[in-house]
Amino acid sequence: MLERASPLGAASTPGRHGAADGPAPVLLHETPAAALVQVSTFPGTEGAAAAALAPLGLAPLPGPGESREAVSGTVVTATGPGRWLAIDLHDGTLPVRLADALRAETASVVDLTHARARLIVSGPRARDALAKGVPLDLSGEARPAGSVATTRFAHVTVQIRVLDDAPADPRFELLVMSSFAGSLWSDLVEAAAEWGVACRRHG
Amino acid sequence: MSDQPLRMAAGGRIDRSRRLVFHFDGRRMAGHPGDTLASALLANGVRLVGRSFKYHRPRGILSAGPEEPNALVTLRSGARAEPNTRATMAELFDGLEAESQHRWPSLRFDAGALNDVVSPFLPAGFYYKTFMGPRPDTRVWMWFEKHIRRAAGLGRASTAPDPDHYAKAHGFADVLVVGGGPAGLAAALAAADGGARVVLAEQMPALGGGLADRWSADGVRWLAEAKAALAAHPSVTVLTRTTVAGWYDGNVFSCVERVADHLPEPAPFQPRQRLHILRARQAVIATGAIEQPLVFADNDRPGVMLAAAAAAFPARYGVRPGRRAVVATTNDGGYDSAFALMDAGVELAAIADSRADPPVWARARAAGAGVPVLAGWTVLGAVIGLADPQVCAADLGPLDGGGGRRVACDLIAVSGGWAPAVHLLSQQGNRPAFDTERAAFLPGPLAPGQHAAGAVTGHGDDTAQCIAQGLVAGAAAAAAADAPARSRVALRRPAPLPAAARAGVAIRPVGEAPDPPWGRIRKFVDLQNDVTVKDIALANREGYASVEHLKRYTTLGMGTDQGKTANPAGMALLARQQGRPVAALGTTRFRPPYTPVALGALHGAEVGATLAPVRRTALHDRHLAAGAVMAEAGLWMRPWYYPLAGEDMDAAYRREAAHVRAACGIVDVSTLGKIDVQGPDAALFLDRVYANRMDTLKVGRVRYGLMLREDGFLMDDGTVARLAETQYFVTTTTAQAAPVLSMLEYLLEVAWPDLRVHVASITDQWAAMAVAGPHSRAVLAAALDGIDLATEALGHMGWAEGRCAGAPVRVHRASFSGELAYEVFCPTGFGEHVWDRLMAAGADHDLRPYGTEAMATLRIEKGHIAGAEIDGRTTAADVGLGRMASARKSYTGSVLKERPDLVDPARPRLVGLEVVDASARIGNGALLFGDGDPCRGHGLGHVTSVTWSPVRGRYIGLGLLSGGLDRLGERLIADEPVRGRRSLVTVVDPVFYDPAGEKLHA
Repeated sequence: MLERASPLGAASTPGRHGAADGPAPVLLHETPAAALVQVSTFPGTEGAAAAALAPLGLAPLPGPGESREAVSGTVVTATGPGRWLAIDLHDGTLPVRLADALRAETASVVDLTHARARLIVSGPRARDALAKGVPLDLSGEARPAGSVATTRFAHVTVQIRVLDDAPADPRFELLVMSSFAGSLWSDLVEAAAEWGVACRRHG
Repeated sequence: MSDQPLRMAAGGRIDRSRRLVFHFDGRRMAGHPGDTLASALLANGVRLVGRSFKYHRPRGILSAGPEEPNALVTLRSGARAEPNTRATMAELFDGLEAESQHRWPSLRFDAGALNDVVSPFLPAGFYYKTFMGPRPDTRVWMWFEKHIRRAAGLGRASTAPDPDHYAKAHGFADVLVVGGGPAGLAAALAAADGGARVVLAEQMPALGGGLADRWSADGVRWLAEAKAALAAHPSVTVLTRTTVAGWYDGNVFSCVERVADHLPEPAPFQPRQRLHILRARQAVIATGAIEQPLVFADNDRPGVMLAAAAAAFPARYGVRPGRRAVVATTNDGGYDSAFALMDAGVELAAIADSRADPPVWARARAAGAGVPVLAGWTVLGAVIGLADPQVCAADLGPLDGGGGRRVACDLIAVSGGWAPAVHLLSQQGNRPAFDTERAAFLPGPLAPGQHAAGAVTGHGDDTAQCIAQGLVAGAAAAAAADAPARSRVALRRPAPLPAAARAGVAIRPVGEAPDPPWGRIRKFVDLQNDVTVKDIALANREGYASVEHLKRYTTLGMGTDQGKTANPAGMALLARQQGRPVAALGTTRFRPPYTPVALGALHGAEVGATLAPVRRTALHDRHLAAGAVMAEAGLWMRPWYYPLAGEDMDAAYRREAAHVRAACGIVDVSTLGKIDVQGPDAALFLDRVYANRMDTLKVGRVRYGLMLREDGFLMDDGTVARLAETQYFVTTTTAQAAPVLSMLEYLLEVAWPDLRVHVASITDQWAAMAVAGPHSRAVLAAALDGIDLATEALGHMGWAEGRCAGAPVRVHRASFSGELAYEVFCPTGFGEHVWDRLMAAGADHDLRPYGTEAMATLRIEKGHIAGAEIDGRTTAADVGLGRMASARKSYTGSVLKERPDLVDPARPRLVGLEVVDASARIGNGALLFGDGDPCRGHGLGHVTSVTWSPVRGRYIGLGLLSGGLDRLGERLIADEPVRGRRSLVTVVDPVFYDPAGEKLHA
């Protein structure tokens, strides 16, 4: 069975880092998605795209800054005007299914499954750790669960989706370009070290 | 160990049950938790703490807060040594070490004090006028400057790496309240009550501001209730030890939190300081006011202190700042301080009040205590002991002239009124206006989003009003913030304080006190910069009539304190010199930061190895395992060369390059930019952005392409593979990946929004490795399934898809080395898998990895251009590719590439260069001169790329040469003045290897 290798590299070590008292207030988990596909419509083709995606259960398409979990484990996130990133946690055939569903005149379909690492940051101090590099308000009030933003952590571009906006125990999904994944991992570990962070890698 | 002779038996917010040991200039002393270095020094009777900037005058402690101009020390030692730290802000910890600054050989006997004796000859501007002005030769100034700088200046920074780390925090608030005094606390309460998310920032360790320094039962109760209410509120964040240093456009605030400065060193993983970058919808400025000193003879002596600060030392720290005090005031507030000192057990010798009619309540209280109140008097001079440069008496006298009186004392507590801390508002463009009644600059009209409350508005004399103002401002800010609906917590508001039973404000500014009987002695205006009354008069005489010019000429208001206790007096004196009202003069505009900020707080975590992120290819760990020496290429890490035992770089790359030509090599080219171009109009789009035709490219084929900038210069080169009618796979150079993508996006968004095309970076989706050399086909044949590698099936510049041990791959037959070569692309996550399979299959064919250095050797031998030739100043014609540009279509850059200067035949053009003497060496950047010509100026061109060529057995290079290949065969000098090297080279064709291209078509 052909396994996709993690883009994190050997330098990204799992385990407990930083302050070591009690349960870790920040959890950093690598949890890859089975497929990531970018869909971009052309001016005036959004309706046609939504209609073509409806049989896959992916319509309606979410509005700016939002995401929608259409089918269990399949989430469509709005990443820009006329642009969406579909995330499938379990099914790696999504790129093919989307390419088959959408005609070239309707939308472009780009497989980015290998181009992103997916990290989950959670825990009572997750917001504080992310606030060291993310210049966005990540409070539940400003960004309730399901919110999506393309932003940065320090100098690294990340797409953040709020999985759980609980004030005391939030969860965030971070998608980062594969080549930057190791760098972001170490930046996040350093940011969370003040409180302590438990890191887990996939596999 | 001394016994803290001035420590009170009770009082203050310190923990007397614990003793902290500290050292000042090596002297061991004790204090308590809750002390500052300043309070602990005063408790131990130490009052001489530093020497002044210019005259080396002995200086003491003037204030009890961030405004301190004098008591600057070097805190800690070794790598953590921090110069110019205010002793009044340094919280005491066990083992603290502090050194006085700017003295030699010791604080008490300082050789530099000679400057004080010759000071009549050192007026403002002296150094510049004497050493710089009249002499045209700057070397004279540069010689003197060294010595002047050594004599002046304050502490010395450590040159060791900072062992601490720093953090940033992006914060968000509906309402930011700056200042944790009564007005700020009230504003935070009201704003939170109004539903707002509130951040309250207070620079001191404790909340309360002036209220905490003046003991009253009502005040203590109010403060306790306010603090409890804020602590209980879920939408209030209170940051103490946090200075709001800057207020920037869009209501962005920089707030420096001193997380661990009060500890000997930060706990493990704890940042020393945290820079909060706070975005607030509304701001309430409750920054209070700063008490101002009086200007009189020798007013800089240790023992002269601001009156409220003198009263704060007993209230906060249980320390008497002296044993016997004289208080000189211009306003009612001075009496509060005087009586607080009295209550703390300081003997009050006299109160001098500049006003003719001191308030009745104050006279009555003084009379009851037997303290004389001298109406219409002020302090004329500070008298110091013969052996000890500290205050031992004050000369008092009437403001309007006449006989004075000398009063023995060791403390002269002065109150020259209060200057509202308008700094933050001023940073945002607020123009403070002079209020004659209060003799102070008050905030001008506030802009939307700005609110002010408390002493900053000029009401510092009335705590009840400060609280009332705070409540109003906080509620208004919450309403204006339009905070999202939030469950409101009903706050129990603290009961208000009784209104002050005083009549209005009344102040009589002193300006410059009359001379004491002992003659005209220096009266200091700016203690930190040693600016005197005389300097201000001189500046005015010499025409520096505006406050901004006064500041720059005299240095008034510069330095670490930025004139917090100097500017108001300086403005008043300049106004008097000009016979104008202060209001007509205005005040200088304040800039960030409010108080000094450590550089560490600004860089945060972005330092050293974490200065910039690192990009790693999918094969990074494989390179490390193979012993590669890695090199940075932009943010990427790439394998530079793979040395065998005992090999240096030269040996390794020469071996690697020769091996590729002889057998087979593999190099990681994943860093090439890769762009997916997709849509019905993709062919049209690419035809517009490439200089050569792209619409004619057939599915299944790859084409080399040139891209120009709009201005006609060469932008990038790369390959284009047509994957389908409506989809292309574009590669760029590593360096230009991002600029090319953004140019394509720009053109699609702005120039041709009608084109149905999308571009997307897929650099990270695809790992890529080039397999090059005569054996490369055999290697791929062994490693790949489903691809016919025969030239008839997969010719030069074709592509095919297949599998590599199960992983999908696409193979482009393209060559950068001049050999038969293939680029193997696979999804990033299968990169190691494919690499491993290729290496295993290549074992029988002597496949070895090569690095970027050997890659450069191979492409130079083949005459291929790279970043050094596409340097933003070359055209396609310059690099010999002019004929690639299509004349039958228009494309980006096609018009401007025809500008006269870009088609000038004298432009430097690409040539090959080869050293004449096989043992000679040339380097990148070498300038080219005609053989026999003098090596001066820019020459005929320069060398762009150099390598030792296994094919030619010597150093070769590419260069840009005026005349280009017209000079074929000429001998030139390659001159490297920086390396001190000069070699003879021959101009040759840039294609050193296989000019017919037989190898790559094999």
